[in-house]
Amino acid sequence: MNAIRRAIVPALAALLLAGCYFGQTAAQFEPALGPRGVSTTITTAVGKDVTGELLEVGDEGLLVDTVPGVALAAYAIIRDGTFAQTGIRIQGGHVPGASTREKLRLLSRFPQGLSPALLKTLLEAHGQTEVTRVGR
Amino acid sequence: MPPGSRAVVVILALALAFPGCVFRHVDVRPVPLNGPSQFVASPVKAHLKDGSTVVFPKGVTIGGGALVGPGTRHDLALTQATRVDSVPLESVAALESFRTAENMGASAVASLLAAAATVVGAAALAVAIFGSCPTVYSGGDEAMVLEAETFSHSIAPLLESRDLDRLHARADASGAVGLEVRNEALETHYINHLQLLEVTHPPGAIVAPDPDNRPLVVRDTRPFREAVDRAGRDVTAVLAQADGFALQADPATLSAAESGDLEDWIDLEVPAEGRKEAAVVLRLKNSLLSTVLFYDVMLASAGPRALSWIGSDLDQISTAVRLGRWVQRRLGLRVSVWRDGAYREVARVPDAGPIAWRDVAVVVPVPPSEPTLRVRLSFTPDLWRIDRVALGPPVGHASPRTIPASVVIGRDGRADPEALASVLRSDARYLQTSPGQRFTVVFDAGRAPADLDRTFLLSSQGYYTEWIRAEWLRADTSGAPFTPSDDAMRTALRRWREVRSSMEDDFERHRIPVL
Repeated sequence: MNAIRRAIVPALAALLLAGCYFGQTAAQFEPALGPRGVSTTITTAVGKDVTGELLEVGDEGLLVDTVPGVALAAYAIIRDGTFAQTGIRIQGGHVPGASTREKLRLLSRFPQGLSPALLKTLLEAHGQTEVTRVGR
Repeated sequence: MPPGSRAVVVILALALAFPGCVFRHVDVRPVPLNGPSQFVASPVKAHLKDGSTVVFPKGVTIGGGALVGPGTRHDLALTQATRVDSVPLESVAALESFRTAENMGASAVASLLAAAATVVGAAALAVAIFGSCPTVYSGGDEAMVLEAETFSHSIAPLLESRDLDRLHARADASGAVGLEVRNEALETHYINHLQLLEVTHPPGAIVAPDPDNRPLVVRDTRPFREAVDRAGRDVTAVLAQADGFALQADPATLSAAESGDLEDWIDLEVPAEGRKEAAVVLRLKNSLLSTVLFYDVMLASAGPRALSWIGSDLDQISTAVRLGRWVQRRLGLRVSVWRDGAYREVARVPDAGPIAWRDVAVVVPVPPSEPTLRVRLSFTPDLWRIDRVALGPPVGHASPRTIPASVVIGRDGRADPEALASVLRSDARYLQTSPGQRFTVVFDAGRAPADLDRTFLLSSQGYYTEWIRAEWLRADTSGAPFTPSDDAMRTALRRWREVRSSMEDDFERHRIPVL
């Protein structure tokens, strides 16, 4: 057993030197390279799927920039939500835990939150007067 | 050697003999705005109070009341991007950094498991699975001829492999062989090594790679006397000529496959004539069933999970080995010879890809007890397009001359020494191409010998990764990752029946034009 233990340190060193890497690096991570938030794909319980950029993580749901416009997917209707390159997943219509929400907040375009004035400007840029609520 | 010492040796050998595996993820953290002055070396994003975002991809210095560093400021609607060198801290609402973090525990365990699993599964991983992959053309701008699709097997880094393709290209008057390599699909190609093999041989002989990618010389090839498929159709004439008119599965066989019977075959016969061995020479490519299987079943059906299946699952040895074993059983083409009352498998031809015809030569034994050589080619129904099957005495495996690339020319017509260095040898350097890109690689083959013919083969090594299509993400799917199974193949066959007639046209149309 001691021999095995003694072998682990040089083995780990060899692993690092040999250099075989799995997973993401910051240099490959889309949200780190551009202004957009993480890409999001949401399957809803109301038959409409939402795909787009995560704008804001709110108390009620996720604000997403989709092709039709800015949309809010309430947590209650999210059957399955995935976030590109992250492995984060929310499921089952539950409000995600504080830790998950904090991770998602940092991956959104507006982690600082969208003030009513900024939201109004953003909606105007999309030709909208109000946020589309998915499922209504 | 004492047991303890043996353990040391084994563990060290495993770690050194196999690439060490380090798991990484991106750690996103808020950066305090009121902290001490500091330089953040990783990418940093600043979210400004007016809703704009500033990206500092190479990091930023925080201090003196400002963020200082080369960055790009994007307005709220992302319609304008302007370069900035500094941003006043008072305008910043939030700041976050993106760092690469490593999971050392998982890395060590994964590496040792990888070593063990590789010993068990190395053969299974040396397999082929579909896709589009780099395409290779010859002939110059006037009349480009599709020569090959390279390493179509290799859809993930772990499946990186070497491919050998017979070329019809000839050297020009100066002895140069120029090949254009294109990326014509929504993929990223990682090309590690390109080299030319030259085989000299008697006039009239054929050179083709065998299933182990060794060039085999065959002379006096001729069609089989009789070829009959599983449905009883006489397909002798269809398989006699290399004319581009390929054999397709009988509709009844295809229907039966959807409901469970996943075997089809072609039985070939020729008088044994006292031969001890013979070479079966095939000209074939995969049908687009392989593409349906890959795109519509393995990726699209997984929906958004396809991202992680390709991005991380296939980088796990266990997933790759499981996939490799299934591929061995259900894909490829098996060659069997009748002996002592039964067909016995003697070789397996890996998948070739659906784009370019591929020549393959398989040496089969001729049982001394049989007056007739009976060869069976078996495969999943309609997985292959077989243009020609011929037989000839094998001259033997060739000892080819290897010719390294002498220059790589970019699409601007200029030599690209960095690209050349990337493909010159099998190492850690890769030439990466994106959809629509192309380059020309030139090999200096010199003059041909006066009394012999010569055939060139392209040896290539690398892998490619698929771009996930938006429609796959939008698809109404179970979201479950692909599980290798016969049910998956039946699903692909059902889908294939629906789209087969139109898909070849669509496939051509969807190829990405090169610039």
